[in-house]
Amino acid sequence: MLPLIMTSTTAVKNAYFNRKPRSLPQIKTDTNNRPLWNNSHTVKNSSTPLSSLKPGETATIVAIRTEDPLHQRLLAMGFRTGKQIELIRRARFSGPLQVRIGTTDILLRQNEAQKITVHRSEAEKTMLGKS
Amino acid sequence: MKRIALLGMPNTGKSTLFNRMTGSAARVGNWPGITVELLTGKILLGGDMVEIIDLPGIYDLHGFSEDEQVVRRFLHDNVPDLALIVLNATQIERQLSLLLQLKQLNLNMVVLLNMADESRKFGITIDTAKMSEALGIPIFLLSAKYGAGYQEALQATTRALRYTTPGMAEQLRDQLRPDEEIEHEMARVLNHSVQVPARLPDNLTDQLDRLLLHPWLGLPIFFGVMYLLFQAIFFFGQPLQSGVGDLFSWLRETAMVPLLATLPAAVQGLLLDGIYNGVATVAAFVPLIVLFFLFMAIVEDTGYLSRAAFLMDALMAKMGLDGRSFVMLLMGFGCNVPALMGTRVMRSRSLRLLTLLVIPFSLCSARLQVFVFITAALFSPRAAPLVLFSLYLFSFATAILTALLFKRYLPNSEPFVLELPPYRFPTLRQMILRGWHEVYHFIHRASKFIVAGVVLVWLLTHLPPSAAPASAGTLSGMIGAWLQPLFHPLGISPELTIALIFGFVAKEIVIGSLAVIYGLSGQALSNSLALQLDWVQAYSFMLFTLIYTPCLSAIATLRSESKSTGFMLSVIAWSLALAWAVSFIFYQSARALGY
Repeated sequence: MLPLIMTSTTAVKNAYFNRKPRSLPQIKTDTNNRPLWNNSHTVKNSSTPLSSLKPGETATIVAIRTEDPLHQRLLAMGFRTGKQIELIRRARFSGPLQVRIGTTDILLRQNEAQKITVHRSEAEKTMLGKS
Repeated sequence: MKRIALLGMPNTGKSTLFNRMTGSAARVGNWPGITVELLTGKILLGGDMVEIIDLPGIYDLHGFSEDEQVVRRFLHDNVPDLALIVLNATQIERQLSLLLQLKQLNLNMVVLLNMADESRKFGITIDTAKMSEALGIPIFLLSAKYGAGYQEALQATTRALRYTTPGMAEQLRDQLRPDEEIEHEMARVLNHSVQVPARLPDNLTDQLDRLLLHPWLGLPIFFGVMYLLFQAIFFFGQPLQSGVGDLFSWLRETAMVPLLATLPAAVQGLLLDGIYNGVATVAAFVPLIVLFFLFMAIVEDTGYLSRAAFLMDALMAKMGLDGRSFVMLLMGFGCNVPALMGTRVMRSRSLRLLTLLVIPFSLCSARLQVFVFITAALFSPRAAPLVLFSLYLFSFATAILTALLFKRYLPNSEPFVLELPPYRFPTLRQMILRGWHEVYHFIHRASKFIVAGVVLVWLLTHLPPSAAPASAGTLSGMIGAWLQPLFHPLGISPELTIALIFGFVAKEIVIGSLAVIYGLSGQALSNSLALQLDWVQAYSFMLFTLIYTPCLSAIATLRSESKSTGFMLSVIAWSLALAWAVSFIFYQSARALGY
């Protein structure tokens, strides 16, 4: 199983990159825990899924693309476009994420976090760096 | 009688307020239009009796979750005279949305901003006068836990009850305005009256989480905490349970037996061994349930249960369960009954049912007693611990297998988006009330079923009266003989089948029933078992005992918690089938391998 991923034949590579994005990050992510397919684009500071934030990073919610039951719940939890969101920590074994919006801490799974697009806030990052 | 409905989001301390208002007088009750039971309490308010109903916590009146539908239906079919809206003051920024939705229903309402103590610590300032003015609703700050602001809130409630409720929407959902408008309104009200610091101070919760949710230490600490909890329930529970048992035997010998001595033997047997033992069985669970929920109140109210969900979710999600299911499964190793009751924290019905289905496979302390006796009789002291350990492995394996097999039939519809509340200290009052409510619930819901079951088994093992009790001549013996084609391939003899019928009531009495069946006890019974069974048969019998069915109390609890006799029957059918298959595979392979 492992050598199959390691071999760098084009066929294997293609099969790998053509996978559904949903299952990709569980296979391979870069050091920022960002899925590889997203990193290959060179646009810097563009919108990324919430799931790609690092612990301690803050961002602004840009879009929430979820079906109705989840959408309603996220709204009620305070997920709204334009809101500040901070990733507090991730559970091991690609478990859920802990995020903070305002005064509420929320757990959500990677799958769900991928459907939320955020914009990393650079200013916040430097502020965090100081403290 | 006027009716007050308590409404609010989860984790707002709504139930704490309810407990403060009603004390131990709360009862469960059914309501037209909805399938779940709601806690209600009657109290004297301003000279009149009023009924208070604790509605499930909801995030959103538009929502699709079961609780949200229940609340909609309830408000539609049972218009309350007053709605007490409980909001968490620390989260006022987002919880206002629910209030604005409810406001559109034109209900008579009073708003209580709870956890005022906590919000002050966060540096959040709320101007209730301005907010009241902006919304046109009376608003009060409250700490339901410590009681600050409670008297003012009660007075306001009494005042508001004098007015009649303006009216109620016919089509609830249609009347709700779109979310955008609500958002606009929220901004207007909040700008006016609420100030939240830009960045929250680094508080105790953050520091504790850094340790308790640590990437490497989090899980070991979690298992340590679970182990301690488990040990504590064992340590305090077992003496209490046997104490209650002793009390009932003493009462039986000193009062019941002399009292009934004049009656015919068969009637005496039915009354004492049937009904009285049934009542004693119910009573024996009471201390365990109280203890369990005292500890559960700590785990839950401190906020650690949500942390368990965070830590265990990666593993449990694969089985269609969540971290809270895992806590209940572990607690099931102490006793299945309170663990089954504890699943009520899970608000999604399918997730709850799947957890209810899995918990009975936890090797509880009662089953352990049976296994300890049999392993001691048939295995060498060196092999015995391994045998017991292997049974624990079987217990986990059957639970996992069941979850994996059934998760697709019980898909979890609720999105996994959980709130992580800050750590809080539970008050003693909260813990005691919780224990009391659960015991009341258990006795109220399960006792008739348990007593009926005990009587039925007594009849099976004592009829016809001509046969010796629990012998081959009784109904149970006939069933045992009749089932022999099924049990022979498992290496289980007719005598042991009768013991299994007894075991249906409680696993504690399996050994006792073997003593009756063989007419021997203690060491003599051990020796006799060792002569009649080889280790393969004994192990097969233990596997069957482990899996085939939880005890009668667990079954009664399954029924009352799922509110479905069909579900209860399917759990029994599945565990019987699985027990047979596992024992069959084990027994036949062991024999085929020449053991």
